[in-house]
Formats: sequence, C-alpha cells, structure tokens
Amino acid sequence: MTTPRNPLPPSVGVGLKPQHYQSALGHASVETSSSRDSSQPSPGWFEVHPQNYFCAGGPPHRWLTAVRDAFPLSFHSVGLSLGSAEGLNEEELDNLARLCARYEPAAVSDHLSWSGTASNRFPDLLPVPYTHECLDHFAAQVGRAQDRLGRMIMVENPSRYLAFAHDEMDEGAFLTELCRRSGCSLLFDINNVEVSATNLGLDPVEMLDAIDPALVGEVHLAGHAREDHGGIALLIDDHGSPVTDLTWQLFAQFIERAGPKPVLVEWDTDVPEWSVLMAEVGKAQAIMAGEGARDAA
Amino acid sequence: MRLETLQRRMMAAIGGGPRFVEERLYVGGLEAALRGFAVHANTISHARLVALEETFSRTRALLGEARFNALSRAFVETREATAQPHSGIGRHFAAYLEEAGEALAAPLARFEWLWLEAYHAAEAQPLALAEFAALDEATVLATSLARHPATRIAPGEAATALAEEIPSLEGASAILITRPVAEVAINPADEAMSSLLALLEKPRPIGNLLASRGEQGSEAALAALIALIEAGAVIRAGKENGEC
Repeated sequence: MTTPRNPLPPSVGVGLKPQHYQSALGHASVETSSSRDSSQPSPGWFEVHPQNYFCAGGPPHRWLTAVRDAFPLSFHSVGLSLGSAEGLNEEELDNLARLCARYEPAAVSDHLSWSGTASNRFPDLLPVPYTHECLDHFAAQVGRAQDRLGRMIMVENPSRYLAFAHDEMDEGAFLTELCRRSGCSLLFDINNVEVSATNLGLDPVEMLDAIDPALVGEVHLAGHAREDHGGIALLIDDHGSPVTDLTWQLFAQFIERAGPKPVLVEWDTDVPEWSVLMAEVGKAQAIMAGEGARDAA
Repeated sequence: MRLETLQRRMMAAIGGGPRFVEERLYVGGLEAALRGFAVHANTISHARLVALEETFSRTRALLGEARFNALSRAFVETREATAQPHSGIGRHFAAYLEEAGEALAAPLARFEWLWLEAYHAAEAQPLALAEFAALDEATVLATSLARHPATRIAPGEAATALAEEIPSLEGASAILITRPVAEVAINPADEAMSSLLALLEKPRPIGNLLASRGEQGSEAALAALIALIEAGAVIRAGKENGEC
C-alpha cells in the first residue's frame, strides 16, 4: 500500500466548486507572489467529489489539473456504496482508481453508508446497522477498495435519520473496530455528529469523545437545515449554510484534544460567494491556532 | 436480521412509502422512522430530478415546468434511470420522451445529452487544413482520419427549437457538435457531413472517404470533409487521447 507523496496538510481546505475555480486559482498565484495578505484567510487545500470528474476530458479536468498543480487535493467519493450487502460498486471503484492514477490525490475517502443496488442506485448515503455481521462485511469492502486503489482510505461517520433496533454496538465502537480491522482511518464530520445526535436523541459530546483522534485523518465542518416536526427538531445534512455554533464548539473541543488536523469547510448547496466561504475558513483557522477555541466553547 | 434482508426492506420503504416501513426494525417508534425515511426518499428524488433539470434546461423550457416535472418524475422511477450512475441518469431521457410522444422535446433532449457528452469527451488535437499544405496529393489521400472524440451529430429536428438561440441552425438537416479546443461549438450540418462522420466512426483514409460517395458525389464529399475539418470535428487517426 502506497503513501501519498504530499499528504494533506494540517490546515483548512474547502470543497472545490465550479463557480469558485477562478478564485481558487487566484489564491494559488497570490501564494507565490509578494502581494499576499497574510491577514486574509486562504485555503490550504481542496477537496472534490471524484464522481464529478469520471469523464475523459473537457473543461472540468483542465480546472482540476490547474488546482492540483497548486494545492494538495483530496478525493471525497460518494459512490462506492461500501456498505451494500451485494458488495461495493466495482464500476465506481474502477473509475476512482483511474482518477487516482491520473491525479495522485493526497487523500481518498468515502462514507460509512450504502447507496442501493446495481439496478436501483440511490444518490444518497443510507445508514448501516452497527452489527458484527455488518462490521465484518464493511471491513472486507474497505479492504477491497484499498487493495484496488493501492492506498489507505478514510471512512466518514454518517449523518443519521434512522437508528436500528438490532444494533449491537454504538457508532464510535463500530468505527474504531473498522479502523483496526481494515487499516483505514476516519474522516470525522463534526456537523454529522450534531445532525445524528439531534435526530436520534444522542449526546454529541459523548459521540465526540468516543473518537480516538489518532484515527482521524481529516475533519469536516458544514452547515445543515433545521425542520420542525410538531416540536421535534429534524436536522438535514444539506451543506447549504454556515457552520452552526454547536458544531464550532464541538470542533474546538476536538481540536483541543487532537491538535491540528486537515479540516475541510463543506458548502455544496446554495454555494455562497468566495468571501463568505473564506470567512468560514478564517474561523476554522483561528480555532486551530488556539485563538478561537475559548470563543467557540 | 441479515444485512441483505434489512437493506431489501429499506429499499421497499424508500420506494413504496410509509406502508412499507416496519416499525420494529427502528429505534424511536413509527413516527421517527417515517421522518427518517421521508428524508432519504426526498434526498433521492430531489437529486435525480435536479440532475435532469440541470442537464435538460432547454427541454424544460420547451415543455414547460409542469409537463417537464411530470415526465421527469415518471422517468426517474424507470430502470433506465435507476440503474445508471448519477451522472448518467439522463442518458435515456430522450428515448423516454420519444415514447411519450414528445416529438419536439425528444430531439432537443437528445441534443442536450450529446452536448454534455461532447463537453466531457476526451481531449484530442483536431486536424487543421494547414497540415495538408506541404503534402502531395497521394499522401493526402492516404492520410487516415477519425472522428474527434468530442464530435457528435444531433438530429435536425432539434434545430427548430434552437434556431432562435443559434440562428445559423435555421433549416439545418442536422446539428454538428464539436469541442475542438476548450469550449463546445455548435454548427449546422448537412447530410453529406453526417454520412462522413458515420464512416469516421472507424479510421479511414481520405481517398476512401471521398470515393464512398461515388464519382458524382466526390465533390460534395470533399466540401463536407473540409467543413468538418474547419469545425474541428476530425483528427488524424491514432491521435486520440483516451485519458481517464
């Protein structure tokens, strides 16, 4: 298994969106010039959904090549369906392997989830039960993916709207054992902790504390939507708004325990102006530098 | 419960609605399970419909929002849609519209899908007429050509709907879609150009292409070939770049 030549730095990155291509590359040229204003937040790296680049060529690849040449790149896959009982999606894995060979990203990740079957593919990340049978299966699928890609991958904790009556362990225990068995690491999404804890009536601090920072290769921060169902809050993980106060607080607590990590600000729907995104990057940078931890907490 | 069984039942609940949600499988009671499944069903449906809206914006404008939404909602439940990766969900939408009797919208949807294919096609250096300047006639005729990987021919029926936006398409019998360098280009095409491109699915020497139309058609074939080369629709055989 190979180690990436340029691993993700312990700095704050953002998800790369087509409407921000120019801004992203503008930062690349500023980084190398003497006109850089160090007081302005700037991304340390970029993340993309590789599925958006599963095509032979065209403008998206030209942009991605330019960004890759200037910044470390992380591939955050949404299509392997690692938890599917019929096995991971081989076509997606082959496409991901080709894209990895082309771009040599610093990191590759997917989700603790499944996405339907070969004949009925759901563009969603469905939850898996936390059972020993599922753990055996999921660890085997992660192993297949890692063997095919020739590298370690990260697996992201899910946003949950359902919990299973026959679960045999909690999420933290499942993820920890998954890492031990498969050799993968965790992409720890702290917004997902807030979403799952609220929707399922769990304690977010307990969920946070159940994660060993040594297993975490990358942290995600994002916003979510809130619905009210007759007095019951339902959080929807839509990545369409600023990071919430609670997620910032949880992030500060985690970073205090873990130290600096590669951190991503995700904003996938209602994508804002670049400056708004950079303001979120600035907040995350301040917390990582220890400046914002007290405020956030 | 086995993982496979659980997932089969979850898929039934997502596709079939509340009466397929089995309360005993989930924590928090039936209401909580229904809320959870509603989120997943909405996410799946929304993602599929948005993908169609974004791919077929002109078709949507032609059909009107209500008709487009009705057809889209029915289409995304078909196996032709659900068995595709998300990026390919619109691959068979034009055929579906054709079956639904949408004589104007179907060719326009076909055009929009081909435009997307061209946008994402492999890079390749298009052939330029200037490359022949220093060659003798025998060498030119022996030069083997192929279709540029981004080149597509869309049905002329779509030209009517596009003519207001692209006046040069008025009355075209076919639409030539190319991406010679960075951006996708749209040009009118005639029957001779369409025929040559069909032949160029496999590499062929220029002499063979010109002879394919018979002696009387060789002039028309030459004009068509020049038009294709000027539009960036053709490459020298063996110059494909099949990356990714």
